[in-house]
Amino acid sequence: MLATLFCALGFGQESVRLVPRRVMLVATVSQESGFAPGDALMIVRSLHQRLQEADRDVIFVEPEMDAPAATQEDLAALAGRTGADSWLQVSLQGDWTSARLHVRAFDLLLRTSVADLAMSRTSWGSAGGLSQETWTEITQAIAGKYPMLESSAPASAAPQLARLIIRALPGSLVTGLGSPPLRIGKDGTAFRMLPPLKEYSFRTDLVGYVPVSTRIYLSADREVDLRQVKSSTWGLEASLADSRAPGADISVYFPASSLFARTGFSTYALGLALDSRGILLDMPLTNLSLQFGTYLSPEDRLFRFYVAVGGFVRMVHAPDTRPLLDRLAPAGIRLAVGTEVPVSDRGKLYLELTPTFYPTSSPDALRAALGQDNGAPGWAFGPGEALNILSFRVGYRWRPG
Amino acid sequence: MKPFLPIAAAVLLCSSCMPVPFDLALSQGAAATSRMTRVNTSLITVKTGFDPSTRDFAFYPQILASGPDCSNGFVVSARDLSPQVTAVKEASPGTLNSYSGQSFFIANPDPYAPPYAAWPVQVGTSYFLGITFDALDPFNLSSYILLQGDPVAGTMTTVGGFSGPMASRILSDLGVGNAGVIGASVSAGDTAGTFKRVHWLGANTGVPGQYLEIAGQVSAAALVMSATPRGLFWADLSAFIPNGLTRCMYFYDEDPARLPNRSFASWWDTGKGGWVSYAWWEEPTTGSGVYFHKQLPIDHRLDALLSTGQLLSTEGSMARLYDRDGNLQASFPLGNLVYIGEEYVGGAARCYFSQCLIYDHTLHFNVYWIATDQLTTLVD
Repeated sequence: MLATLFCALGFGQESVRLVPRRVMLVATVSQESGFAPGDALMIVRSLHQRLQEADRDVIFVEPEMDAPAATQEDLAALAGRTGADSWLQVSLQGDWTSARLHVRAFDLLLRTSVADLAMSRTSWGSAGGLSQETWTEITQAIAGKYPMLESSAPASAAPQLARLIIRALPGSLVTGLGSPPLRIGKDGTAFRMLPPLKEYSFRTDLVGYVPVSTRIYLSADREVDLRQVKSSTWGLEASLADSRAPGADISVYFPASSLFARTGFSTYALGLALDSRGILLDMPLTNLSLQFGTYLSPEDRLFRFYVAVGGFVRMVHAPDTRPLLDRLAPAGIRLAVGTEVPVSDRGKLYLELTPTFYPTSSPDALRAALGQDNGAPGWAFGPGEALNILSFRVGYRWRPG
Repeated sequence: MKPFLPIAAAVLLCSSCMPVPFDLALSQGAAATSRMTRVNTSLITVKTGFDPSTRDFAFYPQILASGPDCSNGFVVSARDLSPQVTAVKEASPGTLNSYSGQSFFIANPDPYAPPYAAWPVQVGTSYFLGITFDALDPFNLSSYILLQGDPVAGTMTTVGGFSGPMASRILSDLGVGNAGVIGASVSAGDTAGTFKRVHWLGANTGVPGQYLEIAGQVSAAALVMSATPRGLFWADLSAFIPNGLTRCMYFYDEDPARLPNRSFASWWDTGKGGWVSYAWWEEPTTGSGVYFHKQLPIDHRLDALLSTGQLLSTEGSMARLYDRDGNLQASFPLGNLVYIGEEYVGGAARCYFSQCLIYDHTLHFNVYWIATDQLTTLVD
């Protein structure tokens, strides 16, 4: 029928060749569902892989960016922008342990519905639970439903290239699209000719901005607009040292470098005891700290590592006496080796190992301060100093836009 | 993100077991000792077993002619209702082993706890003037014990056999019967450091309200009863000492430069629920038998009358210095320091403090001193 249609339109009079269909895959998550925004991407990737395995004559593509596609008209428009001639939509409700799926597939060329399925899945649990079998019902419904098109366009002997135009801030450096890296020009664009019908991943860096990692499917000439977010020069954090002492810090990030400075406090006056002493701690001790450090990993890495070193003073604020430096160990030197992971656009959780060096005039008294039941693990004592290598800090780090 | 959360949770769990490197008492003790001089050249380790509930450890070094010597001494502590005194002897430099000890039951230790002990004084070989409450009958006036301890020999005995307490013996030596001691103290003695003075306040068991003050002198040879400071007269102090008082902190200021000589007493007023302190004296002269008294504006336990005439309280690990009229002159936290006494060394009075550090289930001690007239410099 399609062949006849194309013939009626004047195609097919010359030598013909078969062109695979292109089907856009899109997942939508209802706001009431228990799925996180990133879950839809993982689910559609899993389905993408199974569909591609089930029907190698169809090119399944994903839209470059999330776009509202509530109606069939929206989906058709999005498919057009994606370079697809059909679409398949997976609507997700429920959550990982009780997922409800509604799958609709439509052929935009034939203007017919290919599939309309509803199903539930209770065995997922997480993205890791998406087995091949979970998609069998869908792949069987889709496989073979998008036949290839006959085309009279001459097949070139030479490999065809598509133009990928990247729009970004001038001076940005794009890597991952072959050598040499691509530099965005003053007009805010740069392009590179690339073999089409392939997926590409590239990374865009610009000093003072958060690096952007992009993954696209290049079917034909296309433009990609990058949204680059300026790196914040300051941030706030809340922490818990050694599972006991809450604290807060303010950080300053030096532009055009990975260096940072951090100052703040942690206090044992309203901390957690979680031992035989009870639940809450009320020791009249607060540490005031200053640190300098550098990140070892790029900002967009899932695990971003850093090191810092600094000092702190120990303030004693006992009732009926004015605040004073602790005479037993008035100050300390602290190394921090940590990593942070993003939990939102602006927020990261972090975990630090914080070995701490205490100069002290009385190591024996500091040792006794740890309690009768020590050797405290991780502590070592010298003639004028003490070292604690098993000290940790966890916290939440927030950087404004 | 997935591996981060379990790792962070494991770290939180493990680090919650880590001790906090801070103890307010030790910190405050360090602040005080930063302006004192340490007697011992290295940390004193005492090898002795102790129950975890035992608290308030203090080390009393023996006193030689040259001053306190930390190679031998006594450890005083409190466990439940039992003050404990243990003789400790040097086994090797810096390490002392415990020998025989004695425990005493106190029916109602508070608010007089920590153990009511006094500086060890040397009489003959070595005596420890363990002034504490005997116990069996807390309302027995004759409730003081004089311990004779010889840490070198590892012996610890009570003096006088204790069917008749030492107090009675002292009084009988003086030819005075019917008295039971309700307060006692040890003063620094003479400026040459050759002897110390002990003072006793005895209550007449036959006539309520009558009291007798007795002084004793400790020398290398013996404990000698000196003349009673106010003469062998029963004084009627019923105007301010509650009838039936069985224990108090008692001091007598015999410095001829501070006339008229004052006596001081501090006791727990059960009705008020707090400490009260009084001073009394005779006019026109000591020994005249005409008594005057005044209540001092002090609501803390008095622990010592210093050679400067100042009164010292260490209640609640807070040192408070008062003049003889009870006016507060200075206060500062002692933290884990325990005042153990005053001693003349080289003609200058020094106050001595014991610091106990417990780790690895072992007792460790330091002994510090500061010139008595420099105590006020400990105020931050």
